[in-house]
Amino acid sequence: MESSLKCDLLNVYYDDHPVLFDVSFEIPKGKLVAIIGPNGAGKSTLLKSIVGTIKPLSGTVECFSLPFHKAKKKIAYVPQKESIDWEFPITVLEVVLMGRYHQLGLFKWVRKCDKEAAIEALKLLEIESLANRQIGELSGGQQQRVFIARALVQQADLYLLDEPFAAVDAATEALLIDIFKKLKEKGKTLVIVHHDLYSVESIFDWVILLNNRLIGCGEKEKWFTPEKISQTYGKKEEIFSDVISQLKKTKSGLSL
Amino acid sequence: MSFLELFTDPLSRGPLIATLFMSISTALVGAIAFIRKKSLVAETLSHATFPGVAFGLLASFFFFSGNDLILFYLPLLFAFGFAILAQALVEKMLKEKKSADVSLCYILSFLLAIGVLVASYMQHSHVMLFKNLQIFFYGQAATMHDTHIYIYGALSLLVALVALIFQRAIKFSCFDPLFSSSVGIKSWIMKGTFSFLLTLSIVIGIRSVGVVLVTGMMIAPSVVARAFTKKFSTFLLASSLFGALFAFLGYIVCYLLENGAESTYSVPIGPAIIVISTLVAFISLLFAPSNGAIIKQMRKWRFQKSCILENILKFFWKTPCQSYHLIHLKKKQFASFSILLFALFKLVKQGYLKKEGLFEYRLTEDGKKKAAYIVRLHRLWELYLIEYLSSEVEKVHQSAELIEHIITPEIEDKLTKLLLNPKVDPHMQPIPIKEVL
Repeated sequence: MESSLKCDLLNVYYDDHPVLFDVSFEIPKGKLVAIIGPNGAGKSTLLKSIVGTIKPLSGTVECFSLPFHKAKKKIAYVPQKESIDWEFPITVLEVVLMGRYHQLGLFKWVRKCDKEAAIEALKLLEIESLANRQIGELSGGQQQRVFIARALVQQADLYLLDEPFAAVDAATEALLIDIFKKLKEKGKTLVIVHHDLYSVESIFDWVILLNNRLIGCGEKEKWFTPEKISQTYGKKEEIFSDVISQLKKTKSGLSL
Repeated sequence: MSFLELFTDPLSRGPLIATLFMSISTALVGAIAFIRKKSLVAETLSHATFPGVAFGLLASFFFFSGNDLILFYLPLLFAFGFAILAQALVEKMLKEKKSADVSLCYILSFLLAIGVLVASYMQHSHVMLFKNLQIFFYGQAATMHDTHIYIYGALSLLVALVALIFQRAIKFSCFDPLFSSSVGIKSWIMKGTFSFLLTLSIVIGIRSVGVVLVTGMMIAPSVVARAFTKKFSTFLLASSLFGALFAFLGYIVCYLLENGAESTYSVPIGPAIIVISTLVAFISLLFAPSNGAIIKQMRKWRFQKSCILENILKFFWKTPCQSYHLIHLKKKQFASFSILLFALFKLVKQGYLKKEGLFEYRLTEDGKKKAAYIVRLHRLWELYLIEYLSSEVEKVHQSAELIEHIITPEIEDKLTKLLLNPKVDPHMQPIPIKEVL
């Protein structure tokens, strides 16, 4: 089993309280992984420290058995919507072209092939007609599509996405799920911060349960269980996990 | 003298061309400051250059015995140094968890105070130097000559080149900082480029507009440019061009005022440019094509008008075969008399109403279809509110009165499908079927 992402004893502190505490896990290639946990559990922080925008206090991150900075070109990261300046004068096409950074660097001119690749990705996301619009004019769902298009243009092997389904319409969500599943079939790995516990079962095949420390990481059949979820979310979520287990029983005909 | 001769006349070309260079570079850097929301940093830096200029003048007097060339360059160099120092101090304060506006104001007033102290010392002991210093405080474009053209031309070219080369780094890091650092763009590239450009453009600007007003040169062009552009590169270019245009206009206004009827006072160019560019910025915000105040107001009026027209049609539809007189319609209070008259004229022109004698109107076949469609939207919405958003039956009419004017054909289609093409509304009224208009 070849590993695509491996974190070893990752510790991240904001000021003096820990956000991630001794987090270690390993994800094999070709998995669709959900990171779940309550607010403030360090889900976004985990992604940020994997891509190096936050420096961990200690611990190491390896992608494809390489230290992160050597594997950069194989990784596409889609940050949370809140971190983006939507007022910025930039067109949809330009945003997608950002994904060609590893080919163009900071100084090379944009070539025809770069533009074609960007348009191709926009077509895949069904928004090529919006190419020349300013990014802030788009709806939430369309904006998310643009960022997924940019990630596709990066032609990565590991995709790290921070809440791609937040505030998107149903059609976009369906399209994104379809694209994610196709990427997985091609052997790509996707690690996605996810909020909606109800849809975890149908979309993902692995889960990372996180609440500042790692509760568990592995196949959803083994780890996405009521006990583990309630352990992740603390006592308040017990009712939720009860409901989920009741739902499972009802579905499988074990009770009414 | 024609306007072209202003560029060649030895007296006027100094102020004009040097000011043009200066305004291009300040407008370009101002655009970046605008997009980074760092305009107040520019304000702080410009004030921080004042003690720099003062110390520079003193140093050139004491160490180089007032050599003309040194007197020219050393204050600029010191100004640059003090602006950098100010940035370092602000950074330091931010690291100590002071808020940005506290840090900026604190450093601004501290350094300006030092400058004023040195200035008052110079006022008594070195009167000539003090006069030089005053030029930098309020700016004095009128006394610039060919040397200024060369030095400010070269510095402006440097600003434009650096901005061009680092354009992508600035764009990426400002728009999406997390993505940029994930692909390996160091944020200090953008920050370093920005503070270098900002410092340099302020140093270029203080000679002609002064430390107090130089930030005024930065803001207005970018405000105008932002209203008309949606790409970063065109935004930067447009901002520079607007900067040059405003500077030219400002200069012309000063020129005309000074050479106009018997005036004997001289008009300072810097303040004139800033007043003009601010006015133009204000006007362009009114007239901006997509989100200007005027276009917004027009859209509001258009919507109000279409509401009135549709309400009149709905009223006719209740008794489709009856004709109504203007006086009768006035009693229904659709709108004031003149607007009502205009609305009826419009409806006749659109073919939804026809005239039957003087001020007597009746619904046409097309009008019936149109009105029925509006009623359909009204009743569909009421049904939707009750079935899907569990509103109370008595309360839905109010909302539908407004929403019926807003629902697009696509939404109507969705509602029809969602509600399974209903036939009756919550008040047991029939929902008119959809006819092709």
